[in-house]
Amino acid sequence: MFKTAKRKIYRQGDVLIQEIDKLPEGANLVEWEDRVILAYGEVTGHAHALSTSYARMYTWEGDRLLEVQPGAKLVHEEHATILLPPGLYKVIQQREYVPEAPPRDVLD
Amino acid sequence: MSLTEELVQLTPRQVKKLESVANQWKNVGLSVGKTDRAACEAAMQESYRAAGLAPPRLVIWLKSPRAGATAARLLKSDLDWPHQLNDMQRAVWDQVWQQSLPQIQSYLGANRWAEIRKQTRQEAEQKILNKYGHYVEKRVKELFAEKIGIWLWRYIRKIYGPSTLEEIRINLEEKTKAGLFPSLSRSALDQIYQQLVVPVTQQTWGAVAEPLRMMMTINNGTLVGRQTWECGFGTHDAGWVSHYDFLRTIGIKGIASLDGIINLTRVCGWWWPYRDLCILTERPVALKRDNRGRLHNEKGMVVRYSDNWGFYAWHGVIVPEDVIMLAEPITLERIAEERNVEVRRVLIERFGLDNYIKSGRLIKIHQDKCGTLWRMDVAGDEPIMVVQVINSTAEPDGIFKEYFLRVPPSMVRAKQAVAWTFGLTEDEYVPLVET
Repeated sequence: MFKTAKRKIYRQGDVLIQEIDKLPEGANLVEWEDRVILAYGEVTGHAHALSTSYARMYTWEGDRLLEVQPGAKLVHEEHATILLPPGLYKVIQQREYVPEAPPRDVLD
Repeated sequence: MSLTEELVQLTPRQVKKLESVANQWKNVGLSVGKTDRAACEAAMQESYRAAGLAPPRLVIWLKSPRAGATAARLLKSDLDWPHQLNDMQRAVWDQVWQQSLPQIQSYLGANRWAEIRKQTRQEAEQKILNKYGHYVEKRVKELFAEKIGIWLWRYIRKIYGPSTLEEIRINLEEKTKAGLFPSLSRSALDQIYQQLVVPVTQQTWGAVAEPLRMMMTINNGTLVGRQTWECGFGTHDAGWVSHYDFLRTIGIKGIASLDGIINLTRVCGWWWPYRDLCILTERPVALKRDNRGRLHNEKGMVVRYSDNWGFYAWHGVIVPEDVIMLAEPITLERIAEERNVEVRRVLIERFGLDNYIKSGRLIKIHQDKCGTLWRMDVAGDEPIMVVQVINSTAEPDGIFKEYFLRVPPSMVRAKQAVAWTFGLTEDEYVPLVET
């Protein structure tokens, strides 16, 4: 069977990081102070985050994109740390099916 | 805007500030407790003045937005008479006239007020005299009170004037927006919108104020018809107000005219401004949410005001009182009998999917290393499809937490269902690392 090139994905709890080819033209840089936060837990205050020294976030057409330098670690208080290889990624937040309504995001 | 005008980008320090301002306003929008009435009145007067208006002479305080909306609607009603009001409306109107009375006295002056009383008293005496042939003190008093009541009903509704919300809220914001200096760059505005206005609005307006508005419409008497929304939403205006508060804190000029409304938003409940009267209402005394910010309380009302108005919800779904304050445990029969689909879904959730699995009502569709896919058939509704998954990282006590995610009814395999929760196909969903 012919094998298609798969995009690499990494998952930490309810956040998934999917590799992309390039940064689209016109993507907007989002400034973060110390940490690039991918998702917050509403009650716990826990967050999926990367150090700003190793990662930059962009937004493009409603998607959040990451530009990752060597040494970037995706951390969360309740999940094991993921060492992300350098590259470009899209951030995907887990969702749940809601009948007769658009999917809602899951936040842990 | 001239080309030489400076376009400002946010500095890292200001970006950091964005987060703290967002938290501050989220807390405002979700705040509960005693309302500082004096602070509210001062901020309300400041708002009127900023719009070039004299502060209203009558100020009415009510304890919930529902009471406020009812009063606003009563002011507008074309009834000649407060007699036709239902009990809830009557209770609100009693508040309105009792609070108005001393204010109207000073508004009219002691002499004019004494004259009105005297005239009304004479009319009452004359009427009783005509009816009974002699003077009956008790009847005269009753008739006098009634006539004064009607007089107030007509008078307040005659003098309160048109709504000034347009001037205070909308025009003032438009003017402020047009006069900001220095102007912000598009990307700075985008960032403020994404990181401040959107999250604050979602959590305070979307998750709290919208359901409130819906419940006020549902709970109100039919007599006065639909609600009037000529109001400011007090603490629930946190979303749009946070934008200007942030600009103010980073030194953008030209926001002073919104100071009053920003202050009012910090402390007050919903408010209805008119030219010569303002209805102010209190903040809620209780507000309960789940960990996703949706209204949720397993033990009582999700939002409650000091007049005890409020309602019940389960993870954002508004439900009747009995679904929360279960007089008796949920049974499969009770679930089957529930005709409202949304409420039935809540009952199913309250019953617990674990219990469903035990009861044999859940059918195992598929199982793989990603999890287990279950289906439950529901009469008159699409089947409920859930994928049962296990956390990849253990809890501190070494246990791996299990949880259920609802997925579309078209799912056939567990892995496909998990992939769907990330918007991926089964083929695409091959995590290199999963924690």
